This record gives sequence, structure tokens and C-alpha cells, in this order.
Amino acid sequence: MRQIWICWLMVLALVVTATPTGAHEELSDGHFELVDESGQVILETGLVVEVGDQYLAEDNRLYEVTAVQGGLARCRLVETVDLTATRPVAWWRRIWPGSARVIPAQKGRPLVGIYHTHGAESFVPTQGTASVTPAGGIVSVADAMAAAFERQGFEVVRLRDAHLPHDSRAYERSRRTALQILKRRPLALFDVHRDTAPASAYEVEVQGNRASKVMLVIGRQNPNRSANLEFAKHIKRVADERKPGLIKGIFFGKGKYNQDLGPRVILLEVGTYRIDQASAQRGAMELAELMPAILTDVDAEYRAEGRSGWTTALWLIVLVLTIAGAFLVLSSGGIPQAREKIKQFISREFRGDLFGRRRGPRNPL
Amino acid sequence: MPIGSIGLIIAVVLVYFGVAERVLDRMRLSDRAALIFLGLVLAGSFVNLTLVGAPYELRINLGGGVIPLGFIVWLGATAGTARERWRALIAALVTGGAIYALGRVLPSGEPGNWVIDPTYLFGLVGGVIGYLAGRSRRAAFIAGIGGTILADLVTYVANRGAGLAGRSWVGGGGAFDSVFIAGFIAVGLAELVGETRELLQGGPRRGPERPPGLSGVGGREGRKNR
Repeated sequence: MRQIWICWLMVLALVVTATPTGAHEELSDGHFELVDESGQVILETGLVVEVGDQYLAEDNRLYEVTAVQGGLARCRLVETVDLTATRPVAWWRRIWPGSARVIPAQKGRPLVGIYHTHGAESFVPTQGTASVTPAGGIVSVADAMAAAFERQGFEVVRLRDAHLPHDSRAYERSRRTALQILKRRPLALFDVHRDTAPASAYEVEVQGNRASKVMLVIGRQNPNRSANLEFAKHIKRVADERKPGLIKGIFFGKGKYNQDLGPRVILLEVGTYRIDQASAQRGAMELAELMPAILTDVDAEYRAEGRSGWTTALWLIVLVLTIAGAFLVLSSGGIPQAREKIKQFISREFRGDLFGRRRGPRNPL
Repeated sequence: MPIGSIGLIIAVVLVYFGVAERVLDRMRLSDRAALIFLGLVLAGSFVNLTLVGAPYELRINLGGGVIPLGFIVWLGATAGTARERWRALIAALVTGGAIYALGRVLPSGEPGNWVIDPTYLFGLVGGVIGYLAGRSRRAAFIAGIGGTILADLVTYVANRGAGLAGRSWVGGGGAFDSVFIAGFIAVGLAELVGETRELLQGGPRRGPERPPGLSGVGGREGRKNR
């Protein structure tokens, strides 16, 4: 009976941890303000901000959120990042030919994928409301981006699934769409969203055209974080050179945004619900027009070495082994007893081979 | 590398080397059946079937939907007792209802707002509730997988009822879908909690539901005799 109560407590703990921290809800209206040490606003965004989140601003200053009170997030300057700096590539990337490349060498027409997790997102000045089911204005923005890609000579896998309803399982549904696209092995995969910041945060003029800025979002809970970050930096580096002001910055939020599925999977916040759809479409098209320079640059190399998927996996294995070891020692009453248990376990468990043939007599326990 | 693929590779390696033998034994599965199942899931991930056409499209992935569904039906049909079969069925219904309800009730936040990413969260919820309702390894696995598939179907019916046209999926993520995360978590929990319980009570309890291969050994008396 006690075990049943323990199990129900586990369920309760899950439900409690499932409750979003901080502002507790996605901001359908209103936004967070990130301010630096001097109180100057460095970012306005509808993404819910938490302590530990980071933001690489337009001027390449990297900030980290240190405190959140209501809609105000205080940040500290971590460093100024030089996106053009060349650092030696890690030795292990040199062993396997091509693994140091941000963009792999390719044959034929380059392929990209576009989808939208929140297909109902809309633009108030155009649609009159922030959300339209089944297809909001964001679908047209993603369509415009796909068309711009095709004009640049790309082949586009464009899935228009809306992943309704816009509830807490929306990313679980969009994961299936992302996987369908990834089966075609695109060079890059874009999940197109729009923010809920004020219009002023995203308005920009790019080469004389009124457009919206684009913010790149990278998930921190994601084994491909390092690779996706390098891809995002590569996009920003090229955009800053050719279309300054187009890329708003790179936001590092909690979660993984389906980015665990590949090394060049990026979430884009194209404009905000307070700007008109045409501006957002122009922003998406301006970004797509940069892609030949970004996605064919096979000389771009991983410059910043962070944690890769394999190192994350290694850490997970070490963590699991440590916990299992501690549990074993505690449950068996000491290190010698634990060692004896492991010996018994190995002699008992490593007997079966493929297709069920066994080398010794079967002992079910 | 996706966590799903890391997990699947680890599962295949564990089964191949016989380490997962104990769990499979208690689910009454042979190593061969488990490997064939995992192989079919991987291969079937590349095949999609359309169950209902546009505008209310419903698709099912062979590896992520059809094969696991067939597998749990087979597991249920070959369950030891009628009681276990009923328990597995009820557990799957409870799990499906709970996942659907939680998906609707919990705030629709971005993944960044959650302590656990939603992909893992609903797998965990499916696994925990599947174990609680099913209790046995086999029933927990059936509930984790069946409940997640059921929640997808309920969402499809609800969308259709609300007139929301579009494409819905069952197990569209193939081997990396939350269907499997829920199933494996359910079995893992059943194993962990079950083992702990048996350890606390001094050995497994004998009874008619005990698998034939395990009925004559172990238990309190078995341990005394060793």
C-alpha cells in the first residue's frame, strides 16, 4: 500500500514539475524586458524568460539573465563574442574528414525544410487577432520564405501542418512533422514562429525595404546545442555582413524545440504579432535570400567548441553509472558486497546470445 | 544525436548482449522477439499510411504506430490471466485519458518554460500512469504505448469535432516518438519499483500470476533454501 502512495506522489511531483516556472504561461499578450546592469533595455520578447537564459544581442554582446521579477529580467554582460574570430578546430573533428564543417559538402540542388509548430500564430494589424485556426498568418510567412528559397535555387520540403490545438502537446506533434522532413536529409530545417513583443522591437529597414527582424532561438536542453549554435552564429555572421540589422540576435532558452533531431535545426521568430504580415514576409524573404551564401559555405568550420551530442551522451552515461553505483553500494551494505553482486550479475546476465541460444543452463532469476 | 536514437541504440545493445534479459523474461518475451520488434520499428519508421483523407487527414506511421499497436495487442492477447488482460486494457484507457487531459489542462507554454521538455514529460506521464494502473511489466508497457496512441486518436476526434481541418498523426515520429518513450519508461519504472518492492519484502511473492519459468524458484522460501 505504501508503494502505491509513493507512486502517486511521483505522479504529483511530475505534474508539479510540469507546471511552467516563472510566468507560468506563454505570453499571448505582453512581453518580457531584458535589461543590462545599467537598466538599458537589451531585448523585448514574448518568450518567457528565466534565470540562466542567455541572449546574444545584435551587437554580439552575450548577456545572461540573473534575476526575473514580473516582466523584468535583469542581465549581466558575459562577454563580447567575436563571430569572425578563428580558433583551432578540435582535434577529434580533424580525424573524421568533413566533421569540422558547419555546412556539409553537397551534390545537386540543396534541400531545406520549413514547418511551423504553431500554425495558428497571426499578425494583429493584418488578421485582426493574434491567433487564427486552422491557419494563421505565420503560414503565409513560411510560404513566402519557401518561395524565396526556391527562387535562390533551393529545393524546399514545406509541410503546412498546423499541429492544433495550440496546447502543451503542440511540440510533440510538430516533432513528427520535423522528423518527416528530416527523412529527406535537408541541409537545414526551420521552424517559423512570430514573437509577442511590441512592434518597435522588430521593425527594421533592410536595404530600403520595410521588414521585420528575425530572432534565432536555440534550446539549451538539447544534445545538438553546440552544432545548432554554431549554425546560428554562422547565419548571424553572414547576415551582419550583408544585411545588417536583419538578425535581431540569438536567444538561448530552456527546452529543445525539436533541435535534438539535427545539427542545423533552428527556430525563427520572424517579427511580432504587432507588425503587419507583409513586413514579416519581407523579413523571412530577406533571410532566405542570404541562404546561398550561408548554406553553400562549405569552408565554414566549427570555431567554438561546446558540448557535442556525444559528450552530452557520455555525461549522461557517467551520471547514470554514478547513481547506479551509489544505489548498489547503499543497497548491498558496502563496497565488497557491491563488488560481489556485480560479479554475480555479470556471470548470470551475459549468457544469452543472439536468437535465444544459451551457453549454460537457464536460471530465470 | 537525438536522445531517442541514443536510447534505441542502447536498448538494442542491451538486448543483444542479454543484459535486458531479465526485463524481457518478465514481460515473457524472448530476445529474438524483442530484436525483431525493434528492427521492425526502425524499418517501419520510413513508411506512412493514410487512414483518413483530407481535409481531416489522419496518418499512421508503420514503425511508430502500426507495429507497436500490433505488438501490444499480441502481448495483451498472450497475457497470463484474464485479469492481467483487463488490467492492461483499463490501464491503457486511463493513460490515454490522462495524457489527453494533461495536454489540454497544462498551460500551453513554450518548451523553455517547462522543467522537463514536453516530449519527455508526456512520455514520463504515460510511463508513470501506465505503471500505476497496469502494475505488471507487461501491462505497464501496454498502457504506456496504448495510452499515448489513444491520446493522439482522441485529439484527432476532438479536432474533427471542432471543425479544425488538417493533418493528424499517430506515432509519426517512428522510433523516436513519445509512444516509445512512454512504453520504455513504463517498463523501466515497473522494473525499478517492482525490484525495490521485492527487495523490501524479502523476495518475490509466489502466486498464480507468476510466470511459469519463475514459479518454482526465488521468493522468500527460495531465498532461504539458497
